[in-house]
Parts: sequence; structure tokens; C-alpha cells
Amino acid sequence: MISPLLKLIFGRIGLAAATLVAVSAVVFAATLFLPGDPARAALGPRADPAAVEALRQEFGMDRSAITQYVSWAGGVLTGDFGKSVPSGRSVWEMIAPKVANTAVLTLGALALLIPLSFLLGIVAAVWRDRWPDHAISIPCIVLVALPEFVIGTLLIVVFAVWLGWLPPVSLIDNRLSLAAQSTVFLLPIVTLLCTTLAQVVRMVRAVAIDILSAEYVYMVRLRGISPARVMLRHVLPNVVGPTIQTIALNAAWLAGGVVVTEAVFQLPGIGSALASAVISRDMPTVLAITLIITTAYVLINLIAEMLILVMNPRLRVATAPN
Amino acid sequence: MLRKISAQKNPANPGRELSIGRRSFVQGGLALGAGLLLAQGAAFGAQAAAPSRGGVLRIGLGAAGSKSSLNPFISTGEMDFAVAQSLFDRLTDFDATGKLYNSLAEDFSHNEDGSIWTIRIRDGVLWHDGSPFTAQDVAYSLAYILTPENKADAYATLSPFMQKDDVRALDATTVEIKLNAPYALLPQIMASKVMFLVKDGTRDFSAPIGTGPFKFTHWTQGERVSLARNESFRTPGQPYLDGLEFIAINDAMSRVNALMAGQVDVIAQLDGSLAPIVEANPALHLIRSESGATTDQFMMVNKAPFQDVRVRQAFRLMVDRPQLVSNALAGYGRIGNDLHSITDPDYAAELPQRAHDPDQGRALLKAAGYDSDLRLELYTADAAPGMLASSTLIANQAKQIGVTIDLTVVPPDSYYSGPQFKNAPMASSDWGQHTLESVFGQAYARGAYWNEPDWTSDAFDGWVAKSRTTFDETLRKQYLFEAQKILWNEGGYLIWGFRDLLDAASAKVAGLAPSNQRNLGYYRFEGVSLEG
Repeated sequence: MISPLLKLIFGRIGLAAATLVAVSAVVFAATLFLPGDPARAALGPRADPAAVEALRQEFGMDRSAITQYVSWAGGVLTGDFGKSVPSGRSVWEMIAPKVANTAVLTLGALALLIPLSFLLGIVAAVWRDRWPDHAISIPCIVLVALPEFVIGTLLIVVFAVWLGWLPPVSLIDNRLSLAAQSTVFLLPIVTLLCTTLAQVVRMVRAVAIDILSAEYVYMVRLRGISPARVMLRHVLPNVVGPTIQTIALNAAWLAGGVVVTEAVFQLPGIGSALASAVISRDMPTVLAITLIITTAYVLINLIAEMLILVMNPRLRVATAPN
Repeated sequence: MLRKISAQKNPANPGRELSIGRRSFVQGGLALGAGLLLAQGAAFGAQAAAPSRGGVLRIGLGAAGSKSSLNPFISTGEMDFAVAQSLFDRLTDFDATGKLYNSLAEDFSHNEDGSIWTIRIRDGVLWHDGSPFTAQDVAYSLAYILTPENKADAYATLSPFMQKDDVRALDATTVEIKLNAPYALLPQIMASKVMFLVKDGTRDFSAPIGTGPFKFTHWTQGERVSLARNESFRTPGQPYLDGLEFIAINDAMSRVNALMAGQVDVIAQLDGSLAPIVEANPALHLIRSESGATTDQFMMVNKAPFQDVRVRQAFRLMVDRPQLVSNALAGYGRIGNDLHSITDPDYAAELPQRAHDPDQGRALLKAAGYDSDLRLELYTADAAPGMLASSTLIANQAKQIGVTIDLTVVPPDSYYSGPQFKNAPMASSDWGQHTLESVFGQAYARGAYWNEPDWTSDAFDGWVAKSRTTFDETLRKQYLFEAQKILWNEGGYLIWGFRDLLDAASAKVAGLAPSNQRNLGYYRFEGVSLEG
């Protein structure tokens, strides 16, 4: 017999796989309806029509949509994302360094987001409605209202143009290690942090306020346990559970939402690669990047769900079949 | 009997004798006026002392992303072309004013009617790997271009004149080409944009070997290319720089930001709207090059209402050219006279400048039977600098002569392949820097795919054909004048202006002179140095 928890986990993984197949099919269909033609885009506006037709045949674009999808999906299952239309190079070879750059960006933002949002949220909750709370909450509300291209541009104006501390454009040199050029990632990471921080801080603050006013915390305090210990042992663990979903949502958004930030800083990541692939109608690359973003999205949600299940026994039992 | 043509050598290339050939008549500021002065005179930056040696010039420019390639025969984006300009050479080339000179060719000679050409190449030139440049390399390069499977851009330029088996090396420094028919302009087409010379046998361009001033060291597709000084470059002492670093920055505003923050030393393709920022900054220089590139409109000559030549003339008279240049091109341009290739030495500058004359335009329309009831579609997009703005302005100006123009605006990337292109009576277009010969071959040749207005004229074709077989430069200029006069009177293009090429550089960059061929001095950096 499989335990109910395992069964649940397998069910979720199955669902995730189905989501990926569905998304890939929808994106594939969408690319077919995009106006313009990859062969013409690859060969330039003044290309010879015969050369355009030859390239279409070379990439099998003259086959039926279903045949094209099946052969593409078959390739992906064996780890082959196909060849980029304009350059003829392997898609994976081309996007791998960009995936790495985007990963640095998102993981960097996430690594700062989690501790910082807990710290700020709890401080705001403890000193609720007093000056530390206002000092944290008001900027957060402002940040929530600003789109990332505004934040990014403001950061460029202040830190690159006025102060001259950081580069305005994230030019990456593949010959250097990422650590050696960490400054080019700083402003984009801070931009992403600003756009995600507010929501998580507000969530942590709300949950912490709820828990701080709970009866059991009052009882613990009465027993004379130090405030730090109350916070670490009795409040924090109970804040984490309800906050996981919010963090997961923001993490999933980061995986795909870096497109705008990458454009603001001209950082060569998957966002700019996707934009450039759409413009050149490079469908194999568009599909590969969409699939990577979807996979990240699905995986993050899957992990969050598992964590919530594991951390909350009641939920685990309630959702398991009898 | 052999006749000789010696094209003039590059005057910007010191240390080599200046042999004045038959093209010398184009000297002396042939009506290009200020344009010539601007291009020749102002190699900005103080260069009183000898240029400093060393340093790496970092160049910010737009790249083609995943399309980018190091194959010089396939030009995909600005960065790929700029890199090829530093790595490779051609047989002939155009100088900063558009004049032809011998680059790796020493001289051209031909038989009586010009159907067989013999090209002697420059001796003593070395490839980046140290091997000597030979006639066999030239034969290979031309054959490579002429092989359709290689998809070289220049295939369309060369294939009407020769087949790949008709090019052969006679000895180490002599190439013979048998043409399909007599043709006088062979030296000129050898200077076409992507007519580069590569080493015999090259099939793989992942680490290209050329004869240019810089040699290849590193490439990250669509992001970065590094080149190092070619120590055995044929001009002694040059290049001054240790190397070049081409860095892709696709967004125009980000390029300016990177330049101001010192992340790059020069940037190409400055947006006209950003030029005032550069001009106001004492640490930066604006590089402004007058060019032959156009954003234009065309009228389908066999579709109503434009099949009547009077309607075409009325439209050419109703546009306010200075207003178009000052608004659509932000003032960075000069007015056009309904002819392409203002930078060609044989451009018909003697033809009177067509003025803004809505009254005469209205009269012509009336004579053609349209009495303030003409309404037509102008197909357009934001596909080139000033294209959409000029279309909107023209629609406004047309109201003055009682014509209603309805704009059909489509996304830029599907503009030229859109079904309405060449189906609407009027549409927008853009042409880069071209010689008369090359624009006549593409935009005015009977039946050519990019003959956008479907222009046909026996008289015009006759003059162009004569110009291609005459070796007398004065006569050729006359024939081309007659051809252009026909276009000025009857043609389908409405060429209201020529766009300036704009770039910017840090004040410490010296020796970068504007060229009317392309941005950043035609992307040749052997004479550039970093000072201070």
C-alpha cells in the first residue's frame, strides 16, 4: 500500500506534468498564429522569396502543425530543444548562459527577499502603529504601486547617473566569473527585490500581528520567557506556514517576471532572449524559454504545496482520503 | 589590347602614393558642398601630437541577438557588420566621401569591350595567421559568394554578371574574371557592402581570419566580440589601439547611459532625440555623418491615381521637405530631390531642387481630373527612423491640396512582408547607403522584387544600360544624368530627405572621422586612438 501522503505527492507531480504538456501545446499553437514568418524574419525584410521558401523547408515549417509539434515534443523529451531558426545553432547551447544569468538574478533576489521580509514584517508587527511600523509600511505601500521599470529607472538615475556607484547597463562578459562582475547584478536584483518585498512584508506583518495577539503567546509571556525566545520558538514557526504561499507566488513571478527588469538593464537573460526570439520569430527558442519558465513556475508551486502539507498535519490529514 | 583603369587610392591612408585615375573629375567638392567638407574635414578630437598607442576601444552598438554570426558574407546586424569591417578587406572600397579607391586591388584592366577583366592584387599583404594574401584567395571568395547554397548577401549583386567558374587565379597576384556581358563598373561593385575577401578554403567562420587591422580573439553570440591589434597590418604603425571590444546594447537610451557612465567609449546609431543630451555634455562628442540613407514613400506607377504622372508630380510638390526633415528626422538630415544616392559622385545634383508648391500641385491634380475629391491609402509602419512620423506629416500636408490620405499602420516587423505592401497605392520604404548602380539594380530595375513602385521605362533602362558599358567617365556621368532626369520628372519615389548617421564618443577618442557610408567612420578603427 502506498501511503496517502505519497499518493498525494505523485498526484501533484502528475498534474504538474499535465500542465507542462498543456502549456507547451498552447504556446506552440500561439506561435503558429503570430503574424510574420520566421524564415522571412531570419533573412531580413529584403530577402529573396526563393531563399525564404528554402529556409522554410530546411526547418520543416512547410509540414502540418501537428507533425511539427509532435517532432518538437519528441525532441524535448530526449533533451533536444531543436535548432534556432536564424542561426542554425542548438537552442540549448544558446540559451544556457542566459538561463544562468537569470538564475543568478532570481535566486539573488529570493535570497534577500526571504530574510528581509521576515525581519521587516516582524519588526513592523511588534511595534505596530508606532514609528518603526510606519517607517516600514509606508515605503512598502509606495513600492507596491510602482511597476518595475519605474523602480529600475529610478535606481539607474540615483545610483548610476547621480552617484556613479554602479553601472547603468548590465553588460556581462562571459570570460569573467559572475563573482568578478557582481556589480552588474546589484541594481537588477534590488529592482526585483523592491517589486516583491512589499507584498511579502505585508503578509508577514499581518500574520505576525495575528499570532502575537493569540492566547498561547500571552500564556508563554506570562511564564516569563524572554521576548527573543518567544519570538524564535513560538511566533516565527507559525508565521512561516501561512507565508509560504505568498513567497511561492512571488518566486514564481520572479521566474518569468524578470523580462521587464532585464530589458531595463539590458541584461542578457532569458527575458531578453525571449523578446529577441519573438521578434525574429525564432519559434524553437520561444518554445524552449516558455517551457523553462513554465517548469520553474510549476516546480515552485509544487514545492510550496508540499512544504505546506508537511508543515501542517491537519491539512495533510484532511486532504488525504480516509 | 588592354585598357587600364586605376581607381584612386585611399587619401586617408598615409604612406601610399596617390595615383589619380580617371575618376579625378569627381574631386573638388562636386556639389556635395557642405557634406563633403563635413565628412572630410572634421576628424574630431585634437590630434596635434602623434596618436597614443595602446588601450582597448569599447564600442556599444545594437546586435542581432540569436541571429548574430561571424560569417562576413551574411550581414545580420550592426555589430556583425562592424566586426567584419575590422577583420576583413575588399578589393576596392569607398572613402569617407563615397569615392572609390583600391583597397586590396592594385589595378583593374579589361579587354576591348569590358567582358574580361584582369585584377592585379596588392603584394605583401598578410592574413592574420601570417600566410600571404594571394589571387587564389580572391578567386575563392568570389566563388564562395557566387555559390547559391552559401546564401551570401552579395550573391544577388554578383550573379547577374558572372558565374563562379568564370573566376580564376592566373598567378599569385593576378585574377581573371570572364563576365556574362561587357560591364564597366566591376571595380565599383567590388566595393559593395559584404564583398569581403576570405582565405582560400574557409568554410568555418567560428574563428575568422582576415587581412583587416584587427584580428579575432573572442565571441559571445549576440553579446560581445573582442579583437586584438593585427601587428602585421599593411599600414605601418597602425592600428594604434591594442584592441576593440564590441558590446551589444540594443536599447538606444541604454547605449547613451553606458557611454555617460564610462562603460563604453563610443556608441553607434544614436537616436536623433537623444543627440541634444550628447551635445550638451562636454565629456562627449556627437559624430554626425551626412549619408545617402533615406526614409521615403513610393507611389505605385501603374495603380490609380498614380498611373497619371501629373498626380505623382502633384504629390512631390505638395510635400514640405524642410518640415519633414526637421520633424520626422529631428533636424538631423537634409532635404531630398526625389532621387536616391546623393552620395554617389554621379548623383544629378544639377537638377533643380523641387520646392514646396501646393498651388501647382492642386493645378496638376485638377488637370488630371481630381478636383479636391481624391482619397487614398498610405500603408506604413514605424519600421525605420522617421517613417511613421513622415507618413503622418504627409497625410497632413496633403489636406492642403484637398487630398485625403488614410494611414494603414502595421507592426514594424511584419511591414515589408505584409500583404498590403505594394498593393496599397502608396507606401513607405527605407533604403540604406547605396551607389546609383546598386540602387538602380534593386529599386529601379524592371521586374526586380524590390522595385517597389513597379517602375518601368524604356528610356530610363536605355540610359542605365549605356552607362554600364561605357568606360568614359564623363560620358557615363551624362548617361546617368539623363536617367536621373527621367526619374526626377516621372519616377514613383517621393524622396523628401536623407537621414544623417549619428554616433557619440567620449572626448578621449581621437581620429574617428565621419563617413557617409555608415556609422562610426564606416567602422574602421585603424586610425583611432585613445588620448588622455
